Amino acid sequence: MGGVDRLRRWLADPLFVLLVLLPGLLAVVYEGVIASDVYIAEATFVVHNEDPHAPGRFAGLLAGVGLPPADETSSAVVAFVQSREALKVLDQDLGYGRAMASASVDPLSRFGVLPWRRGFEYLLLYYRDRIAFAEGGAANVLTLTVRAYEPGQTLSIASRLVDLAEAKVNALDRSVRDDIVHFAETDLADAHRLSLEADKVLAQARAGRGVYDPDRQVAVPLVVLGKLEEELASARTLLGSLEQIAPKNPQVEVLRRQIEGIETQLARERRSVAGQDGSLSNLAETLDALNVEHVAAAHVVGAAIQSLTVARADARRRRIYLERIADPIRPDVALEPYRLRGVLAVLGLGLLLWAVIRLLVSAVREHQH
Amino acid sequence: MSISTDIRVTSFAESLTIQRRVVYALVLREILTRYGRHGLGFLWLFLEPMLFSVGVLAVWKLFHATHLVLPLAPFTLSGYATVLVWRNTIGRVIAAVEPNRALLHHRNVRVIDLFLARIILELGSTTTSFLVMYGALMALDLAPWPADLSAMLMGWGALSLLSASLALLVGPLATLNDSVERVWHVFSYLFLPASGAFFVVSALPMRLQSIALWVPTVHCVELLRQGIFGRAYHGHYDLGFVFTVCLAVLVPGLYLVRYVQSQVEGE
Repeated sequence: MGGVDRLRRWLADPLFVLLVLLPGLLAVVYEGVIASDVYIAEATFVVHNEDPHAPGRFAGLLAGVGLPPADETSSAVVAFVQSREALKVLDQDLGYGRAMASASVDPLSRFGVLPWRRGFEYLLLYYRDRIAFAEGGAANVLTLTVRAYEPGQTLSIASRLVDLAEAKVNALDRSVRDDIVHFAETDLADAHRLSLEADKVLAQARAGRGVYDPDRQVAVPLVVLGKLEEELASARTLLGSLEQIAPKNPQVEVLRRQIEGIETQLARERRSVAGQDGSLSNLAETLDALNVEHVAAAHVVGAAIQSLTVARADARRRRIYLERIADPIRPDVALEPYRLRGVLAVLGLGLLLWAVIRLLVSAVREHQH
Repeated sequence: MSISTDIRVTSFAESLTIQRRVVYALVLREILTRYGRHGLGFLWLFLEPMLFSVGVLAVWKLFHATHLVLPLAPFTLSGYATVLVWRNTIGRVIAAVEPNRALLHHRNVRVIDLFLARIILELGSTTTSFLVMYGALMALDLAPWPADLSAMLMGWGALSLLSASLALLVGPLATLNDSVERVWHVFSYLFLPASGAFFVVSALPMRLQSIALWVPTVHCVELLRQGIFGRAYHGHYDLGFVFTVCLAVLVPGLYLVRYVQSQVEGE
C-alpha cells in the first residue's frame, strides 16, 4: 500500500506533474498520434583511390597511431554530399525544401515552421540532420543514410545523392589525371623550346662567320703552314751552306729575300689560324661551347619525353572512382521514429530532473534556524 | 510565553540564505587554511593552475615550434584549462569531509556544504586562471579574440556543471571508501588522453569520432573551442547529452551525500 501512497504523494507534487507527468503525456500524444513516419534509405559505396605511389595499407597503418588513416577522398565525398552545392541540386531537381515544408510532415519535424528559420542556410542545417554517413570495415566502405517522410521521396533523394557523389568523384578523377599528364607535357614543351634555341644559336654562329666545320676548315691552313715552314727550313739550310762556301754568290741575296717573303707569309698564316678575334681557333672554341649546350638540351628533351611516358602510364594506373556496393531501395516500412523509446526518454529525463531538483531542495531545507 | 521563534518553520528562502552564508564562510575558511595569510597567500589559488599552464605551453612551444592547423597557444591552453577544471574539482572534493569533520557539529554545516564550498572554490580559481591566461595570450597576440563568446561561455559552463556533478558523486564515494581516492588518481591519468583536451574531433577518423563523442567532456571542450576559433573549427557537441549525463550522475551523487550525512550524524 506504501507504493500507492507514495504515488499519490508524487501526483500531488506540482513539480512532478510539471516535469514528469505533463511531458510524458505530451510525448505519448506526439509520438503516438502526431509524429510523422520516417522512412530510411541506405546506399553503400566505396571510393577507390588507386595511387601507384601511395604507401601501402600497412605503411599507412604504421604512420597513424595504430589506425588506418581516414581516406581523404572519402572525406571529400562526405564533405561534398553535406555541402550547399549538393543541397542546391536536390532542392532544384527534387524540390527538397518544398517537400520538407509540406503540411503532411508533422509540425515538429517540418521545415520552416518558425518563420525566422526559413532561409537556405536553415534548410542546410535541416538537411544535414537528415543525412548521415557511417564508415565501416577496413576498405573504407561508406554508408549513406537518408531520412525523409515518404518512401518514394526518400529513395529519390538517396539515389540522387549517390549519383551526385559519383559525378563529383569522376570529375575529381579527370582533373587529377589531367594534372599529372599536363605537368609532364609542359616540361617537355619547355625542353623542346630550349633545345631549339640552342640549335638556332649554333647555326647563327656558324653562318655569321661563314664557317661550317671549323675543325676541317682549320686543317687546310695548317697544311699550308707546315709547307711554308718546310720551305723556310730548307731555304735557311741552303743559305747557311752558301754563305760558308761562296759568300759572294749572288744567290745569297736571292735566298735572303725568299726567306723574308716566306716569314711574312708564315706570320700572316699563323695569325689567321690562332690569333685574335675572328681567327679560326677562337671560333672553334665558341662553337664547342655552343655544341655542349646543344647536346645538353637534347638530353633534357630525352628525359622529358621519358617522364611524359611515365606520367601517362601513371595516369592510366591512377584511378579515383566510386564503386556502388548497394544502391538504395524504396523503403516499405517506416523504421523510425522509435515511438516507445521517445516516450521513455522524455519520462526518464523528466524523472531525473525532478529527482535532482527534489534532492537539491531537500539539501537546502536541511539548513534551519 | 513566546516560543514561536524556535518552532517557526524556516522558509525555503531563509534556508537558502543560511546555506549561502555557510558555503561562503566555508570557502573563505578553505582559502585561509590552504594558503594562509602570508606571502602571496590566496593569490596561489590562481597562480597554481596558471604556472602549470605556462609550463605546459613552454614545453609544447619547445617541441612543436610550428603551429599546426590551429594556433597552438589557445589550443593548448583550452585543453589544459579544461583538464584542470574537472581534475582539480573532483580531486579536491575527495578529501572534503575528513579535515572538516569538526565543523559538522554545527547544525547548519552540512556535508553537502563542504563539497559545494570546495567545488565553488576550484571552479572559481580555474576559471579565473583561464581568463587571465587567455587575456595574456591575447595581449601577446598569440590568441585570437574569441569568435563567439556565448559559445565559449556555454562550453565552459557545461564543463563546470559536469565537473560539479561528478564531484558530488566521487566526493561522497571517497568519503565512504578510501580506495576510491587511489582509483580516481589512476583513472584521471588514464582518462587524460580521452578527455578531448588534446585532439580535435573533426580531425579524427569517422569511427573514432563516434567513440569520442561518448565522452561528455569532449563535447564541452569542442564547444569551448568553437567559441574561440569560430565556424571554421567544425566543433562536434551536444549539450543535451552533457546535461543528461549531469542529471544521471547527480541523482546517485546527491543520494550518497545524504547517506554520508546520516553516517556522520550517527557517530
